[in-house]
Amino acid sequence: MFSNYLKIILHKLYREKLYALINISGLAIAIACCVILGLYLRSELTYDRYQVNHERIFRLEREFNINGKINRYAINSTVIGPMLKEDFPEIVDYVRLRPNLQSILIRHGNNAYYWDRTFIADDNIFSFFTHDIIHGNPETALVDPGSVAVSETFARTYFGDENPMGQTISTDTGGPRTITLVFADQPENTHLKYDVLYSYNHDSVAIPDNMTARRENLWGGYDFTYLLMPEGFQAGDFKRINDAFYSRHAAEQGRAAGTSFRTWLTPLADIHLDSSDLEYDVPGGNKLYLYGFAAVAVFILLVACINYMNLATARAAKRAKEVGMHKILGAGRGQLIMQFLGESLCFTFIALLFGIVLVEIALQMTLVTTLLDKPLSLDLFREPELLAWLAGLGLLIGTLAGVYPAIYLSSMLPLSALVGSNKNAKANIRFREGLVLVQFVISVGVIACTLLMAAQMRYVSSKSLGFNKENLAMIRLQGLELIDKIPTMRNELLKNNRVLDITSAPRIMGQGFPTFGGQAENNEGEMVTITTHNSSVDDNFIDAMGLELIAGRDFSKKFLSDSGANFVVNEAVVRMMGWTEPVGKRFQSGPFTGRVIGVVKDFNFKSLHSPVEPFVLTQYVDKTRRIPAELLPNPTRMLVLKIAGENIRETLKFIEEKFAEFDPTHPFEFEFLDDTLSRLYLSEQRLMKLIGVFAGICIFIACMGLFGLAAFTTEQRTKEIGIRKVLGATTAQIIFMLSRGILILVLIGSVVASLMAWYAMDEWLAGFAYRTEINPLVFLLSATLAAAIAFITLALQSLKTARSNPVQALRYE
Amino acid sequence: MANREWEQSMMIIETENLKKLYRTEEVETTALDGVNIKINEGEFVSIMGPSGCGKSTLMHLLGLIDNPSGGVYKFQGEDVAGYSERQRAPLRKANIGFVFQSFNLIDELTVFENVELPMIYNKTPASERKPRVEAVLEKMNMAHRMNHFPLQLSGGQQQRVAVARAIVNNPNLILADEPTGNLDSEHGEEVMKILVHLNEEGTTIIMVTHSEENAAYGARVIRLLDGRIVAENSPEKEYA
Repeated sequence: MFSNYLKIILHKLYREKLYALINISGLAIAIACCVILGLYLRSELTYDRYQVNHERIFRLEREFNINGKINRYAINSTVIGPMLKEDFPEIVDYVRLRPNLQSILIRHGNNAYYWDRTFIADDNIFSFFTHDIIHGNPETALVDPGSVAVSETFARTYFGDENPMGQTISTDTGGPRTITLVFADQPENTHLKYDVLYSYNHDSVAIPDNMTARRENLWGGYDFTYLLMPEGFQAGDFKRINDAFYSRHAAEQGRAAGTSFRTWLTPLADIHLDSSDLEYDVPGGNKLYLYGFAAVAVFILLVACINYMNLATARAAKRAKEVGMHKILGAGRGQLIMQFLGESLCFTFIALLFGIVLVEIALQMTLVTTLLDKPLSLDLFREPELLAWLAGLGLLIGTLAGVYPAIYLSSMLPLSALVGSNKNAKANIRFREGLVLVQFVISVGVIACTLLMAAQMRYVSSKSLGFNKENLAMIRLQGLELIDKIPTMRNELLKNNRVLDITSAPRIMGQGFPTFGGQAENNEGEMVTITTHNSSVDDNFIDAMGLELIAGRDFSKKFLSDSGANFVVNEAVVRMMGWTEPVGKRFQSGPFTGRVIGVVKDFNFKSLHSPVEPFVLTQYVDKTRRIPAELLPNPTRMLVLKIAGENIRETLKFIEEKFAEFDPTHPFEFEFLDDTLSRLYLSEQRLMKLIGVFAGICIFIACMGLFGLAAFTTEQRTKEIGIRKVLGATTAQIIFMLSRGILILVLIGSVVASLMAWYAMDEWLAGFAYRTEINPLVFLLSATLAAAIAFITLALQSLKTARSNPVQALRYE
Repeated sequence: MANREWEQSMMIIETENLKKLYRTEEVETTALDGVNIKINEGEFVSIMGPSGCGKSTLMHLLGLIDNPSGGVYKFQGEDVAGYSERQRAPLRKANIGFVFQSFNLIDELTVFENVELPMIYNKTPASERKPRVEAVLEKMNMAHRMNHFPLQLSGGQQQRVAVARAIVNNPNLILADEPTGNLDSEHGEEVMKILVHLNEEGTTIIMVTHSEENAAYGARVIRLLDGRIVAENSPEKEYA
């Protein structure tokens, strides 16, 4: 019996090539999209689950409450891990990783490369986290302060296939370190990735013995701290520990300063997706986008399944005879349902094979992996369980696509075999129209979403940020020696008249500024505790960056008192303090104490996701620089060059040559400020491109279905077309007649889709503090686009029949 | 009494005032208007009449393919007029074989597979099916074309396959709707001879035909006009 069905199916595939092509290619593309998105989702949803102890490991996170203003951090105090373990025996262990906030240049012999993912780590890290150790003893590797553990990639970069154990590497500041361990590269889906781990066992970062010093230390810190808890410990249980710890060690000091902090635990496997909006965090995933991707996968699948349903039921009249005949010969309804389901499963599994091939091809293309920002692979030999998933997907799609046609086709009465009538035909057509409507709702919806995202991205790149971002080249200066040469460099570089201005700051807009606790005088003359973002800048910074001074004055070299004493604040500080007369107010921030001398208009130093926060500028002075060497083993400062818009290439060449004279040890690297800023929207850009690609695929599959459907209706109406032509209808009239129904569906679909896209995009835009308005024209444009594509598809199909000699059409009968 | 019981058991088809109306949105067409027929087991009955007189409709009703709009239809003594498709299907499967003017073979299957199909639906074990298909095809003189596809055969050969398919489950009743309509006279005669042979072996045959010549193979002719029986007699009497 089964072989009979298979034979009928294969024969049909062979005979009805267009039908087979549309169904199989549509399903194959949809399956490929689904598999790729599925692999992506799998990776995103299983972050850190490979860690043996992932259910027992938590990250300690913290928020400060300073006069009601909450700041949340992923990093913690150096001493909090050890102190917690001393006080609470249920804490099994802790490990600390202190990130180097900037990439550092690491040398071995003549080889020097920059590395971004370098940390100082406690020596128990290899027993705490799961690693594949290639060389070295994980127990002792980081015990010696002069030791360093490196990744396989790192080792390969410098040493090729040689064993790197015992080799030394060095940085600009730190002494030579000996490689004592090599670990296999971490899986792609781990939240904290590192290539270089230095030993934490340095005197400079040792925990003070004195309890007062320790408690002092609790209020700062730069360490990611992870705790290993007993089996069954829940994150919520930590509140008790936090409360007891805080009241024992920090409450008193907090009360005196008008501030407090609170710590909590986030389970290791949840950090990637659930731990959001923390400062100093490593970039995490976005749950909302995952939902978006999953929805897109489901949509594409639905569109392809609808093609199958539509084409299968459209052919019902053709198949009525076959169905009726089987029934007359004694086939039961169940048998026929199984036959038709078998048919759709057969289609799906053929499509599945092509889909897998497509996935393999797509994953080889860097375009796809760049778009997803994740290397994905579908290795059925190494992960045979994926086969089961794929088979499950095939079954699901085959059933989804086949169940309605199976029920519908098998419901036809045996009489229809003989007289070819079909009572349900009208209801069936309505149902098909409904399905086409769904396809166009999806297609127009995703097109509209893509356009709206593009509009927001345009808004983001064109919005005035309160400073000049064009033609500003930034060079990172590394090492104190070089930083001290800034005035000389300035003079030399300004000799080129295409270098318009030069300034410097520790960080530039878009790079993230540290926050400092401090105090400011309120209108009543009292000092209150505040937090602000800080930057110590060159005296010409405000002018060079194009910030707008709206009250008071700029820094000036003429006033010696400016150095390390006076502040220029932004409007957000004025708003926060409620100042009526900001200039002259007493102010203290970080190591600086002085007065406010000026106010600048708010500027967006962070991405447009967040509103402008309080920011203070201080003047950069050598003597006040306090960069603890152990925190920033490689002190850096950004040199910002404002250059003329023309002959940029030549200007850069000049700068490179000059720079090499000042700093022969570092490769010349620069970045334009607008590039740095656009990186702040990378995930949105990616989402937009991805949704755009899928919108294209969606509408392509939908149009393939439409093409098939049109082919079918045209064939059915061949005689009618012939008669109409004989009666004088023009080709255009006939094409219009054939496509009118579908175009009406596209229009109805557009209205529904617009409403849905409006809602979805409003949610997405809510993630931006600064957002474009939704322009209704976008919906009109999407609808027109979809209608145009649909019309072209239909016209292509019906043109042949509409233009043919009417006699041929009539002869068809 | 005994006589009546015998008559009852011999009766395969009995209709009383059988009606069939077709309704569209605007018009109602009466296809059959009070047809009374009695057919005994083992009879060979021909149904004749001009196009549109209701012949095919009557065949569909008698073949349990369609429902009457009114009247009584007793099939083997069982009143089936009100049966749903679900109830009709098993009766049809067990008792009736169909032969159509347009053969209605399934193009994708071979001759053998076409003939085998009713037995598969009847859940006959595979071991029994092969010899029976072969025997029936032998009988129809089609055994040598067992592995051919329908489109590779002549019309007459296709109809012989269709007859083989109709009889493979040993039905009591064969309904033949213009079985020779698409055949030339030589092939037509061949098919008629097969039907006569089957009738001689005891199968009841009801045949719709346009041809007086073919009708003469039957023992009785029922003539329809505008959905009513206008004459019912044996062809011998008619021509006598």
